[in-house]
Amino acid sequence: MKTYLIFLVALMTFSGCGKFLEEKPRQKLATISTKEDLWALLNNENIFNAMSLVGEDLSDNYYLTDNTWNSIANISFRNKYTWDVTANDDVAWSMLYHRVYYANVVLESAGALRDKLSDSDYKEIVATAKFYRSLSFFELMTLFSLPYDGKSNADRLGIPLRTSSDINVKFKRSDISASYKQIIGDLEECVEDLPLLSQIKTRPGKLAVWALLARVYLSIGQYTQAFEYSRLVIEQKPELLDYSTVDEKKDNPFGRYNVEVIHATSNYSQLLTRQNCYVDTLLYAGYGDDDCRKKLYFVKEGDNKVRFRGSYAQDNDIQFTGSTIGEMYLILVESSLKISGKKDDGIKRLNYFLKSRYETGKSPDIPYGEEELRDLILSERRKELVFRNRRYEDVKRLNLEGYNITFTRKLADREYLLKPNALAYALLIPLEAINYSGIIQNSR
Amino acid sequence: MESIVKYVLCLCFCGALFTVYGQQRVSLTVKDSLTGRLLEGYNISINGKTIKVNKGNIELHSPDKPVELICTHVGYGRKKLFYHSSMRHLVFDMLPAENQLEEVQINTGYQKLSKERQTGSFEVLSKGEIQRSVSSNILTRLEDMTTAISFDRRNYDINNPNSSDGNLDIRGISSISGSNSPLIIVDNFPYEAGIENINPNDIENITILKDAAASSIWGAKAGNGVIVITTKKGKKGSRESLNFSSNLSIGAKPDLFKLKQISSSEFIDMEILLFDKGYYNNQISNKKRPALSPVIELLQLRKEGKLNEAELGERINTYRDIDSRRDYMDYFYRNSFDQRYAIDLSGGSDVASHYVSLGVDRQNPALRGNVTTRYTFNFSNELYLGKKATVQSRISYTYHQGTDFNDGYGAGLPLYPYAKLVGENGAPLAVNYGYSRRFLDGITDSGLLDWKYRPYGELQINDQYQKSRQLLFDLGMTYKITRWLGLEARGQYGTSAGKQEKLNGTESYFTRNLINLYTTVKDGLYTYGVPKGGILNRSESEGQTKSFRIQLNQDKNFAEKHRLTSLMGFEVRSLTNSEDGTRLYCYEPEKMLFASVDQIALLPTYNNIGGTASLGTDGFFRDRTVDRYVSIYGNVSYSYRTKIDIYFSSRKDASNLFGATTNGRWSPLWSTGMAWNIHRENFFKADWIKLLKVRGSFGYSGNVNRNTSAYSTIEYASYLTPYTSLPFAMIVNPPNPSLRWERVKTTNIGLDFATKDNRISGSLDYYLKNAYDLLGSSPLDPTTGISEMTINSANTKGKGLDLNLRSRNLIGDFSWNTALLLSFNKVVVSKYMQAVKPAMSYIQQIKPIEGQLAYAVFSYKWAGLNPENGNPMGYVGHEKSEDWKNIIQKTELNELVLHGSARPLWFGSVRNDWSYKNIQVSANIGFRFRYYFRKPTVNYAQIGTWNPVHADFSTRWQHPGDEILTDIPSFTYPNNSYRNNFFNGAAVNVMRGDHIRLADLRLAYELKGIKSKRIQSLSVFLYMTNLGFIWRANNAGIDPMTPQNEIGLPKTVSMGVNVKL
Repeated sequence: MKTYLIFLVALMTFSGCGKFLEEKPRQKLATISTKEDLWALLNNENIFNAMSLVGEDLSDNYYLTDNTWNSIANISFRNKYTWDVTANDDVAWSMLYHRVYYANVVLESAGALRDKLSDSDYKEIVATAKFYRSLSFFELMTLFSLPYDGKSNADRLGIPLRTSSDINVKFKRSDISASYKQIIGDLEECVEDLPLLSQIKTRPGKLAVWALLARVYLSIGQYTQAFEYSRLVIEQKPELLDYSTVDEKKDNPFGRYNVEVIHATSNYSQLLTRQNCYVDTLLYAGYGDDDCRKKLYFVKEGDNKVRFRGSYAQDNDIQFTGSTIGEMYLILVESSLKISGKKDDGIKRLNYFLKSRYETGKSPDIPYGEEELRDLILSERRKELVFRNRRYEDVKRLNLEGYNITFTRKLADREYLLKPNALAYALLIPLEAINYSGIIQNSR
Repeated sequence: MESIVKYVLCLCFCGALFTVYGQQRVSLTVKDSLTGRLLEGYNISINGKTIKVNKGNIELHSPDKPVELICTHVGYGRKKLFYHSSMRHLVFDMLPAENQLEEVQINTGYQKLSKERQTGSFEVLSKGEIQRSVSSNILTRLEDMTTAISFDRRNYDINNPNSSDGNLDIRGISSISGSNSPLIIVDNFPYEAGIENINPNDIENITILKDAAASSIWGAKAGNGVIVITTKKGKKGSRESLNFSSNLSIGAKPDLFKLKQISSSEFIDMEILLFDKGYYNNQISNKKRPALSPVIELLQLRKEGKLNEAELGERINTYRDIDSRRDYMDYFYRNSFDQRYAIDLSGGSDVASHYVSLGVDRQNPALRGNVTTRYTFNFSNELYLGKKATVQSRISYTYHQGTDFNDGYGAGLPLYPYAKLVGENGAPLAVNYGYSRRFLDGITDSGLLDWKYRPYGELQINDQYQKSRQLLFDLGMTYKITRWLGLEARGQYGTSAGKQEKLNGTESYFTRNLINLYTTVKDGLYTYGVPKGGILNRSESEGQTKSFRIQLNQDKNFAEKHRLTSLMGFEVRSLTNSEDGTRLYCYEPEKMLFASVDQIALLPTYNNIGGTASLGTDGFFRDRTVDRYVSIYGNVSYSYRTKIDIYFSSRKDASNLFGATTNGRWSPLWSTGMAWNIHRENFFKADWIKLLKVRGSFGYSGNVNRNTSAYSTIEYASYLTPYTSLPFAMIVNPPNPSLRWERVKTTNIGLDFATKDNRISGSLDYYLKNAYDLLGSSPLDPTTGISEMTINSANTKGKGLDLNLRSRNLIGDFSWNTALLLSFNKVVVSKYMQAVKPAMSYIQQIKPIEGQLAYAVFSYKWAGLNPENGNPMGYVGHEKSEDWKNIIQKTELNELVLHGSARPLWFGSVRNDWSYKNIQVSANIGFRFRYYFRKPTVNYAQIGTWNPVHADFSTRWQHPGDEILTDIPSFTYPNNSYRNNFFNGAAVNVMRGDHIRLADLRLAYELKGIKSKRIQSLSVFLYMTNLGFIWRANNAGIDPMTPQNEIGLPKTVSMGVNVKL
């Protein structure tokens, strides 16, 4: 009897041990339970502000010497350079879906904590997470689906639109139009809930969302919307850096969060470090002597070899991929040509933009001919956004419009080509993703 | 053979307790169990009443109830026997006190029971067996001394020889992602501080709990088996005795020339070849000015026309005969030298007993600059308060201090093999390191510190030390409520603290480099981002354990033939550990001054060689962990006429590690067992068999893995975002609501046997050990955003055999005993969530695969070298192929060669002990069978780096015809990584690890018959380890215990003296 009594006492003590056992096993660990926890996840710059730089890796703004290429140990980096990304080279898929996963965890956790959060906190957190998810989806679309002009071939394969962090839920590849609908839908929805401009340049505000919408619409040739959204940004924040006043003596002349930066993201690529890559010779030749970018973006290294140093991330090896006011001007100006009655507005903005990029009083004249004007705008776009991860999506779009741009690389005696609208524009999806979820591989 | 004379002792019994059936003659024999010698002058205690007996025949009333007879004799362990009416003859086999193997009670940490009544699988190491070897770490003394325990020394590191000491498992692995280390109990509670804090001299015995019936009383932490260490205590009523022991060990200096490397001259030829191919062009023009080897610097000078061909050749030739290993051997390494001293005092009266000890262990490992000293102090005391209560207390204090030096050969970044480290006069020489020589020599700014790296100088000025102290206080009380019921309460409080400091003085390369790097010069003015002065890195740790247990013990005989023993308890434990680290810049140790620095701002670097960078939070950290457990447990054992024993045990644990859901779902872990002492049966007539017992058990134990949680957890970074200064967090694991604790199910069948006089004795155990719900890293679809996740995804199936066979081949003046320990263990992964593709990942890493051995060694099929170009060839399908990319990416698992296990399936030892009068000789031969390893060979991917090139390079294919003589592929430039990976993973590089080696040899001489009354005994010994191989399957001269370290385990010689007063 006594024994049983003691046993009972023990049992009761045992059940009273709840508090004792609630202690956190590690001080630094937390379950997501407060607003601060949610923001801490969104503040993780290594995740959200390091979107891919693969578009730039695949572009023709730079070249490697044979020696450099040979010294690159990672085979997937070599394959990127020759547009021969295999299903074993996971160049961005895992990384970008990892960002999607973080966004989904924040969205779901915010939902679960809905009652504990103030309305404005909840909305801002959700909007921020949705912005980042759309940003990731957009980069995935750029890399893993074929070019799209917003109209034809809308039923081609897009990407799995993973909107749940539950690993047991499977997603098939949606078609292209559904994919863009998701990206754009989320962005248009989250605009409302964000402040106009975030005090922290790594966090999105309304301007960042509009800027991304302008970028997305432009990439699928939807110029009306691209014009509208870029105009919204510029009207709120028109000022540009006057490049003629930027100190060229500094190794990296541009400030990290300078006035033009709307939303800062950046990344590193082994192919694009200052030490490894040279700027494409023809591209460099295209900059006039009066173009301030020529001296601010580049350093010459004898024998006509040129290195890039103009990263808005203020670093030799980390390239800026975020949105800037400058990019908005270029989107607006380019779109204005496609919309009746907007051309004059466009030219006005173009003049303002050019003034900020050239030596005082030396900016080029605006040509009268439609075609020359368009060529000038496109060439300014390329010159402005070099090493900003925009070239690849631009060329995908332009080739659909008949520009016939072929990328070429030379290594030893061999020449590699990426022909306009080639199937290789949709990279091969990693084998693991195909094997585990049975999604359809891109054709070759 | 001496004839056996029986001294019969008859004791008269009169008492109301017993119903007397009549007087009966029962013959008693009391003898030394080792020599068989008959003993005289002993005490016999019958139910607490002690009678001193010299010689003579005594008659004993034969009672109808079992009577407990205890025989005691000076110099021998207590022997307890049960007598009941059916017996005619009783033999007391007395074991000498220093060699009490069988007599030691099994200590599970919760109770002490005689081995006789056990249904589980135990193994006990006596004091004599523990003291046979000399190492300072108690765990390493178990190697080759028990069955079932396998040591893994594959990661043995000459620069940190003790780091692999704790890699052992009991009966194979039972966890895939978690630890396989057994739970270690000291006296009554788990020992969480490092086992190196325990002085082996303070240990009375070690019990290894192998199966579920033995270990499941420890519940959720017992899945890997349990090692119970019992410390020495004073004995009630024993005379005061003082022991002193001292020994010293010398270990061989590691012979770096056993590392198979190409000569410096060949290395230089390789550099010349690569230089001509333009391999170094990038490094030479690199703005970060990476270091180039002297030969490359010379070649570049030649290329720039600053050196003519003749000078070049001459200067290069000066390097060809230099091998940096020579300087390392001469200036960095020494013979290891360890000294150990221990003194203890023990004794006891009727009211109290005590044990006090002091120990000093000083270790000087082979790498200079490393010294550790351990001081241990122990005081244990037992008070007997009347007949009902006892109070036990124990205080143990350990203090460690030592200096550390890490940069031995092969540690850190490699140096080119022809580096000269020390000059003619013994002065440290600068080597090319960090930045290129031409850059450093070209610096004219006088405000910079010397920027050269001198490895030997670093050793001379090394200033790094660590200290730690640990205090454990145990208090226990037992109280007998009634004759059969006792209450026991125990508590333990432990506190530990550690401190580590490394002062990188202004002389040190670390500090000079950091200061120079952040120095900028403008118009002759110097700006220092890091102030000039030493940099102190310091860290501290603190730990606390608190345990409390209350337990009810019951032991009662019923109706003469039934005996019921049980216990029930409740236990709470809490462990807290915290650590933090800081860095002080511009530190002045004399005055303890330091300066503040800007850790946030982006600082420019000298000549922009490092771009801009911020100092950040390097050297700063802070963390705290808390483990808490609440458990209830109990067991009951029933014995019928001392013939049949049945046992049942159960335990339920809860912990803060997993969260409430998991705790709630956790059903109690239980085990049950049964034993049958056949030799006690009436029908059993074989007189020559003294012990024959079969036992079987079945049950569960568990495993705690603290690396995962049921909730989605996030972890805050210990610093803020670099530019926006915001706190940020990472997702540690996605939510896993179905998380469960790992379970290990063991079925054990055992046989214990002994013939008369223990001429042959031993035990045989066969077991099945299946583990369920193992946490395994399960790869996921990368589209989920997580490439792998730790979930309860795996099961393993293990089976094995432990044979412990001892024989006394010769007894008498010249005695010869043999012990054979043989273990078999094979674990197969019976379930693993997802297979990894492609199959090559199983070659690169030993990973679990469903349906395969837990540690399976795979390789690519080997088709030899192509006679035309020396390319390695494998197979695509059945065709010989050089399409390495396809072989690596497309080969399926079933097309790989499966060699076998990477861990020995069979292992054990044979120990022979001889003694003649005062001389004892003991030799232990260890063996490991049925396992494989991948041998080191040339890795073409490393060519062009400063990593040493394996000597296989010299025997590579160079001309047609070589393929008959060699398996080493030709050298091609640039390296084809597929080709190289294929070759490194090919079957030709896998070897059998099987071997037999002479593990140790011990010679001892005991001075007996000393005139002095003070000295009870005095002995001296000589002990040698790692004496070499008797046989090994590989003919490449590789020590298969440490396949990646061609130097092998060091030979050691120890000598010592033990005095007992």
